[in-house]
Amino acid sequence: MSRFSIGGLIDRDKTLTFTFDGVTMQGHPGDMLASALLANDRHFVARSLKYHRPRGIMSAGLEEPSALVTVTDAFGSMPNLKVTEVPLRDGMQVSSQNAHPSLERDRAAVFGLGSKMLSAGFYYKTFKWPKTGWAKTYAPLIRRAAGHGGIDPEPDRALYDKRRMACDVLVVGSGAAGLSAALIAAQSGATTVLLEQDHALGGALLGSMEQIEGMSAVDWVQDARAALSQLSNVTLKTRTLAFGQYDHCLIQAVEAPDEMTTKAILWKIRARRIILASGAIERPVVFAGNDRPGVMLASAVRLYIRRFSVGLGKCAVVAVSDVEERNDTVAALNEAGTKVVAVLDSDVQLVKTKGRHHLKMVIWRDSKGRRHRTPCDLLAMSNGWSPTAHLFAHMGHSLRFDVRTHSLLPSDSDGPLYPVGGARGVRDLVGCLQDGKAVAHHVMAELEMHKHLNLPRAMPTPAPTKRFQSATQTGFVDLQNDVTRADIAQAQAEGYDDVELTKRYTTLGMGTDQGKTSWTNGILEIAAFGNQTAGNVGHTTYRPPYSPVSIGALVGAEVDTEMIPIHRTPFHTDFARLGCVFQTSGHWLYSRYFPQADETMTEAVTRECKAVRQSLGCVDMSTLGKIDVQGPDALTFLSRMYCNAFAKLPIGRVRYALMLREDGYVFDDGTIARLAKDHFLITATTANAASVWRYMQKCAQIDWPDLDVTLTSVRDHWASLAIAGPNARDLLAALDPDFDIGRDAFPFAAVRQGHLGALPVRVFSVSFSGELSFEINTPAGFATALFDRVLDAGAKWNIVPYGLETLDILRIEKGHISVGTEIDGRRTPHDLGLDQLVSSQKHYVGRAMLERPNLKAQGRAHFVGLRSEDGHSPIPPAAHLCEAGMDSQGMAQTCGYLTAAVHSPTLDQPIALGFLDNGHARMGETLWAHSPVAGKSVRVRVGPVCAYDPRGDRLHA
Amino acid sequence: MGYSALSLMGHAFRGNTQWPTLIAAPDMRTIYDIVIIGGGGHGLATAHYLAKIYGLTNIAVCEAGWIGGGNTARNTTIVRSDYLLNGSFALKHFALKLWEDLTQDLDFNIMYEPRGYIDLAHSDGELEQFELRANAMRLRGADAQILDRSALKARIPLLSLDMDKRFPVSGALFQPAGGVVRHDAVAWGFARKASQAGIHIFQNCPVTGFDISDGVLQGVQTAKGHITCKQALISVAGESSAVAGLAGINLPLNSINVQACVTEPVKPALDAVVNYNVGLSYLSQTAKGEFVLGGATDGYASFARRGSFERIEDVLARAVQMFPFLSRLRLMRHWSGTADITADGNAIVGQTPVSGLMINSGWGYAGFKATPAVGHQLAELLATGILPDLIAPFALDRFALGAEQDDAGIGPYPWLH
Repeated sequence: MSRFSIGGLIDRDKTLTFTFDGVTMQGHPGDMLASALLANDRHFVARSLKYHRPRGIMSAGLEEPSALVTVTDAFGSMPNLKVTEVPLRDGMQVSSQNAHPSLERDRAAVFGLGSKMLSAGFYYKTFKWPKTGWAKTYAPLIRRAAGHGGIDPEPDRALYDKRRMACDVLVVGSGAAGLSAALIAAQSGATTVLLEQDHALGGALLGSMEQIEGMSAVDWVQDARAALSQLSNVTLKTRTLAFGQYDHCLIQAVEAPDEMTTKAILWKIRARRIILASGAIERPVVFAGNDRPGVMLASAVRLYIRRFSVGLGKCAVVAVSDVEERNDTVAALNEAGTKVVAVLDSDVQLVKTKGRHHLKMVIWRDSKGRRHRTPCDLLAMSNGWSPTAHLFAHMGHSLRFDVRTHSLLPSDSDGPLYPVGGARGVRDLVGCLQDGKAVAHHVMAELEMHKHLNLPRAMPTPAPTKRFQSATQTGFVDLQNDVTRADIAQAQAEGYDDVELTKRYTTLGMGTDQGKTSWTNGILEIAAFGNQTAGNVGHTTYRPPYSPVSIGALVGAEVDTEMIPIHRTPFHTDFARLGCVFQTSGHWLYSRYFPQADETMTEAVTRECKAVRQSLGCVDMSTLGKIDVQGPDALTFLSRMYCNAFAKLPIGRVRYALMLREDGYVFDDGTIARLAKDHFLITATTANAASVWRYMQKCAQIDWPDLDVTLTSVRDHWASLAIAGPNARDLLAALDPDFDIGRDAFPFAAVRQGHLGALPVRVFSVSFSGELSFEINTPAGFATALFDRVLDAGAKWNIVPYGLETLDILRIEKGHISVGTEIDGRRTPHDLGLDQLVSSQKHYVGRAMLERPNLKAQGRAHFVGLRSEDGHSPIPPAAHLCEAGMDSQGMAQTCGYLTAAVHSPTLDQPIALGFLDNGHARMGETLWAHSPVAGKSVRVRVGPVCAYDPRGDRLHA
Repeated sequence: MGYSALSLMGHAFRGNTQWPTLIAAPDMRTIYDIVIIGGGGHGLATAHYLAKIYGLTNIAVCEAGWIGGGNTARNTTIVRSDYLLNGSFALKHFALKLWEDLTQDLDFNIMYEPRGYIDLAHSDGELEQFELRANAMRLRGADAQILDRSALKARIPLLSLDMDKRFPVSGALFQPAGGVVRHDAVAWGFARKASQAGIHIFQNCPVTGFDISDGVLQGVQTAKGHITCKQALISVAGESSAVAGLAGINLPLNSINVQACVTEPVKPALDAVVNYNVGLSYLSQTAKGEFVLGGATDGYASFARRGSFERIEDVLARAVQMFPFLSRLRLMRHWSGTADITADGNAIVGQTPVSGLMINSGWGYAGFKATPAVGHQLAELLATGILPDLIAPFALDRFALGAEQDDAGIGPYPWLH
């Protein structure tokens, strides 16, 4: 164990037990998985993606490129977690990834030997033969070798949630700058949210020995935390990663709560101002063997020693370019009792490291060129810092390479997001405190919550003038994707010299760390090999999320049946009681058929069809769109919306109506009922209910604001049940109407308002089935009462409820068009045989475009009916119409296709509907209906669309 | 020298320092026969086929940024041809034939993997519509199958077929030849071959104007100088309306963001491209192991190339319906591209009202799969002046004539396509 007996921010009173690759280990509350592993002397935890090199823990934060593991807990396993981001929990099972048979003896490590052949983009240059070789042989091999960890195929039982918040000031990060900004904002009365991705506040302060206001940095953090916690206007969230900035001051964050009831929560936070105090990321030195376990960032070394009280080795080499940080690192190592065997400034050149699974030696060259071999088991390295300004850049702002700080810096922000402290290159503690304060005051003044004090901002801290230079080309720039200097050099030489092309060609920065430790080094290498300045290189686009976020959280609680609310009609529970089989239709759950005993669907549907044709059935029509149209200009409005004429429609009558899109194609069909002089009720199809509503609103509000018309969607207000069949009028009479329902008093295509017994109703004599039919609408709350009465009274005629399947067959027998099949957005009224409906006397939406030559052309595909030539062979659904049989390759020239094909229970023969080129002129022709998928071809004869009661006598019974 | 395992070995021996550059860096001439505006997949494919088939090489490709940096870089790499309308099918079917041979044709591994495209149906009615498409494809010479639930389970073991879902799965349309192609490699492979043939490719060279007199193209102004030319092709995807606007052409299209995203890489778990149809969500797993996901457009016009995170949430919610294990993975990156979507949701390819100026636009978020076919056909148009059959249905004047190619039947509302 390398855990010291005292110090650090861990709770030694409690012990947490976990396993790594089956070996039981112990840590304490306060530990990250990384610190717990290191305390158990476990540095080597992973293999790299491409060359399968041994990898350790390089950093102490989200920037970790190497130490990816799979963590299994009660909810299953998650791959690719960085050991530096996972708080230690009791019972956690941790396993290494991408190594077979074991981490120590990974067979794929042999790839490292061929690294020169596996140079940048090698896969674009080879694996080309034979032609199917890539897909059949090489890609599967590469796929198996790639991919880090594996998935857990079991369903995820964890709970996730999404929540929203709004505030005046959102502070991201709780280091010196963030805390000082949050204190000012909070104490000025602003509603303040402070987000910290770590489980402890403090950021880099947790590894600092500096004093603030006479206290140790750690005490100052506790003090600030206490001050903030007392304020009711402050929301303080740890373990909450602000992962992206979005339009209109939206910050999105994912919280991983400490208690495990909810695993992760997506927070959508609208802030008036955002203070980005996300600190900076230390840059590794690029040299051969800089990836070996035992090679660590200097700041991580300090943090593990001071925050987690963990020793990292017996003897260390320190190679840090900044003198103060170098001294502080040496001090930390001394605190840990680690012998510092060499302290290197940037006059020296790091040549390489040695060691198999752990660092054994650093070889370096001094300023006089002398070569030194220093045995050690820890290298603390640093070549400067890169500000974490990702959230600033998410809105499309570029960062510019600043020569003084030697890093990409955000430009001066004019809000609403302000980078402060380390995120804009300020490195010193005093500067960070000052910067946080100054920006918080500025923000409070902007929000007019405080007078403007105009405090000076801190200046970005210049980088040391000398940095460690790379000696050979084998040093890793991107550790996760095994991108070396040589790869970047090669990309430049091959002309992939744009930073985006270099990224894509070498995969630099494309790992799960998104290049947090590699991008600045990468830009410097691109500049060096491409003979350009770092400022000219630019950078690739910063995209959210800053660090990978749980997909579970992004989906939230809306899983399985909860993804989108289920729309149920008012009759749903009544139907369910009868054993109705429902089916999802758009967002609706709609009655499909009503099986009795052990009927199959076909048997049930045949029975339902026959009942309607011979006696009586009832069907739910509640899903149809219903729009109430009122006002002096209601008639004018509707007259423009629909292409058929109905200016003379009397009060109390209903008309079938066809609506075109503005491009002249049929959009929807429905009915218009005139309830009073200036009062209409129109229906739209179920599928188009929302779009017709939207379209009417758009026309009323934008196109014709001069019309005095009021639209109200009333679909959800009415339960609508159609009774259909020869006995429909008798049933209506039995329901005790308070209005005359005689054939002459209440003819086809009329509407009556009144009561059936005590039930208030509107009854429409309209029909989709082709039978005498009445659509009874009653306020939705009376649905059950209506249905019960209809079933009771209808029992005399053996009434059957029917569903979507029967509805469809009845309309196919009648040749009625339906949305999605015949109304497919590509048909003119003429194509559908409905041109007699279209008025030539008025202006309506779509008229002008309907005049376009191709819409008027002869020979377009027309809506036709079809029967099998022999009168009994089933017509395969979804078949295409062809004049000839299929050729030897199964191909044929098509001239149309079927939109519906069923066995008509009424006619007891197969019938179909479809579109046929020039179909209106081809009545009586015989064609092939080919369905290669079903393996069926049938001869069919073209005929009229209506196969049943073509004169419509039954509607008037 | 070509690319091969042998050349990799040879160059490895020389420290990988002697590789030739992908494309040459020539000086710009003042006169070219043809200027191709836009160095994405489509523009570079056109350049390649002009050289390969017609031997025309006095051609400049002017790319405003870096080659392949527009929608070629941003798409979800899916190729397929499962369309009902013959115009849409035929062009993409031809593209699939070209994809098959492109690696050898270009001497560049573009990594076409026919992993199979699977379009999920969520009701029996929807499945019948898919059957209609499958039959159309079969009768036109493409392979397509209908998978029932058990066949689906066998093909994609991890696909959830639970009925306890908001939109249970009834079956699927399966196109075996559908799959993925490495998107960047397409641009690079075409560029390299075109450059080797002598075509000049200029990066960071935006076009700033056109010289047009009496409705006839005379030349093109670029950031690197003026070019006199008789013909030019605008092939700039999301920038179409802006660049066509420089020639006074007002295109019937909207520019709308499309979101895409990618998970962390994991070991192979999905060997197909799968599409969810109630609100789009399509996904596949890359060779590196990431799941790449995309969906429908944001639904409002924008050039921002960022945009609606709600769309990402929608796409992920649907993906988790299909593959519940995804909820344990993590989103690694999400991005956006500008889709140029026309009044019928299909492309505009061919002549413009300006004589000599051709256009290739309106591909929305469906352009990648057509890349080689469009390049092939446009090369024929530019080289011979004859409009090839496969692109004839996509002429700009079809909106005036009423010859829309509206596969989805949505109509003149780009934001709904």
